[in-house]
Amino acid sequence: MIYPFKFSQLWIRREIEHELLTQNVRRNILNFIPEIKIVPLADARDEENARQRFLQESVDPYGDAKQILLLTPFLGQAYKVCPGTDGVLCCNLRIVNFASGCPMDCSYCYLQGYLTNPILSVYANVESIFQQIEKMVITQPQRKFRIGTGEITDSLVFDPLTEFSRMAVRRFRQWPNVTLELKTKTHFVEGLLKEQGHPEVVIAFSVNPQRIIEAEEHRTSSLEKRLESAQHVAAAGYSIAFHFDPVIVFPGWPEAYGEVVKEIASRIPAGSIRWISVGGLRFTRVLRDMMRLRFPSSPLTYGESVPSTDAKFRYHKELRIHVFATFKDILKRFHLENKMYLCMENTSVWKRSLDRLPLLSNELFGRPVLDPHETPFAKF
Amino acid sequence: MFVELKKLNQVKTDTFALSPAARDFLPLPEGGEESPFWVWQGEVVWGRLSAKSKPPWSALLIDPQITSAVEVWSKAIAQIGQRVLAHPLIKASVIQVAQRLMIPPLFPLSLLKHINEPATRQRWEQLMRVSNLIPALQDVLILKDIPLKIFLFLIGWSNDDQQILAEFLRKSTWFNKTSVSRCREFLELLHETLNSEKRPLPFIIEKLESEVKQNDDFNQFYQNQKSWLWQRRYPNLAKRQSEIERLFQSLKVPSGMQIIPPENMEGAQLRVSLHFKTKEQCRQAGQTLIRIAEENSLSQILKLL
Repeated sequence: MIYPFKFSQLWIRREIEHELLTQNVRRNILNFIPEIKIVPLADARDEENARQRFLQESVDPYGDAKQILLLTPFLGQAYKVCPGTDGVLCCNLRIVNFASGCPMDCSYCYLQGYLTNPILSVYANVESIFQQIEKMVITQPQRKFRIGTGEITDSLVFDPLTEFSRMAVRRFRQWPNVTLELKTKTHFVEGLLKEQGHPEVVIAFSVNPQRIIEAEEHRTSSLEKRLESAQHVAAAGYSIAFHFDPVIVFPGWPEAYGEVVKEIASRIPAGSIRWISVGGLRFTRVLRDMMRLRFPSSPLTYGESVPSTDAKFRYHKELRIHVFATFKDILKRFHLENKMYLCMENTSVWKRSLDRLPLLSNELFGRPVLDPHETPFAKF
Repeated sequence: MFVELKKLNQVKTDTFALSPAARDFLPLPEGGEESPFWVWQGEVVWGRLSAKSKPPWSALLIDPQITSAVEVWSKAIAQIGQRVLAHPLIKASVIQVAQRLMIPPLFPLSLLKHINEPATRQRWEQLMRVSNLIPALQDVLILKDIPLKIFLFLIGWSNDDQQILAEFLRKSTWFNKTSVSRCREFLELLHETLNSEKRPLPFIIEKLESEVKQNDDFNQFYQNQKSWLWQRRYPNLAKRQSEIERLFQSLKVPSGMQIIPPENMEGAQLRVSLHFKTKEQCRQAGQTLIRIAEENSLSQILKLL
């Protein structure tokens, strides 16, 4: 395969040199980028100094940081509850950060306004991260956990280098009360295909019409490649999910998104699809300014978006309701509407666009993934 | 040659490379070139520049424009002392002069710390671009404490558009009188309208001037112009809001009471604000609310939220 991200430097912290993931990266990266400069870092202070030096000299720190890959240990609590946002219904996703940052460059990516450290970082001490998760899930066998790794990175974008997905699949299949979601805009599923598929490992593809991918999702895989990969992993026994997030309104959007759903329905067996999330374009004020600075020709921040109850800009409410109701109709045409849920939306929009609230219907994740005592949308 | 920029009473010193030509234009203190330090006193007692020769910098290039650059720099530093530094145009002029004085790969990013900006190449470049805004626009915007983020989108405008904006602001009756936040709000809205409509600035300005009548009350005139822009920026939301406003009017809410919709029509809750002095007024307000609760218009409003 061709790995499209040509990092100029690989920074490696000394204390994780012995880790399996570090060895994988060292081996694989030299195949893809033989000319890469490998920079050893003695300790955390050395890392911080290197980071500061690099960022200080950069005209576009967030963009330029995509040139560097850092292998470093993760020292904090590895899993967290997705922070959600005020006033919206939350799906109780647990998140595990095995990496931070993304070499792809979507104009709307919230990480631009969220990460304080833009250097692409992969946490090499995966075994200790797995141990933390294990402690959480085996001590609460009655609870169901849905854990995602794609919150502050793309779950598979580093996979050709790290082979993380293979390690993750092997570990997660040992825990019957856990569903793992790997969310991606890539087609990097080779590693997954080397393992036996597992229905509680959900490979989630973030999708948009190809014209949006070309205009706004820079350096990502094409829609065709993503769908082709979805077919392969579905055939291998993994579950599949799709995230239409963000949905972007442009002339002809219902037809364009309808085409994407049609493709999905024709290529992926409905039984393999666990959920389809739909979320409107949203951005904080900080992200808006960043988008305008980094992508001045992008029209995304100039749609009819206004500050919502959580201060994030969203398409105004009537438009969102129209978008989500239209999506429901599109999915209904292909008998997929019961897979749909809304991401980061309030009760009023749920009710008016889908005629229901998730509390009143248990179909959300196909099977009761979540703890019945902890409602799927606890913030409701 | 090195130049050290020192802030009095502070130990911290920033050192940066200076073109040797600058030496000829810096006022020399007693001691001349033999002295390891040249102390230069600015227009205020805020700081001093000291310089001493260092071999690596002895062969740096000469900038023929440096005379005026030093002059501007002096003024900029004087203004720092007068605490007007917060203005992005002042900061930009400091950076522009520094850039003219120094050799390109050696720009002292740490200089940015003195003007309360992050010491990054990115900010340096941004301020350099701000310094290139046309003088007519700078002359107008220096009058208000406009934040840097506004300048960051104005630097993307063509010189012609900058000229048109300068002219528009110069003759706007409200611009000099109203608050900074309102000026900022207006400029943002104008920028957003241009981008959402994808129309040229002259078209929007011409329409704005012809469709919004002059008003002696500058506050009202500002509101009218802003509202005109807002309706163009959010045409569908504006339509929805006017529908809701019509329904609110039909509720006939008496004075002393307000029913307030959620901002931008987000959220689904209405708020009621009541003012009363007597029990009777309180009772009447309660009765009014009971009456409003039965109104068909209220049902429609609730349905729309």
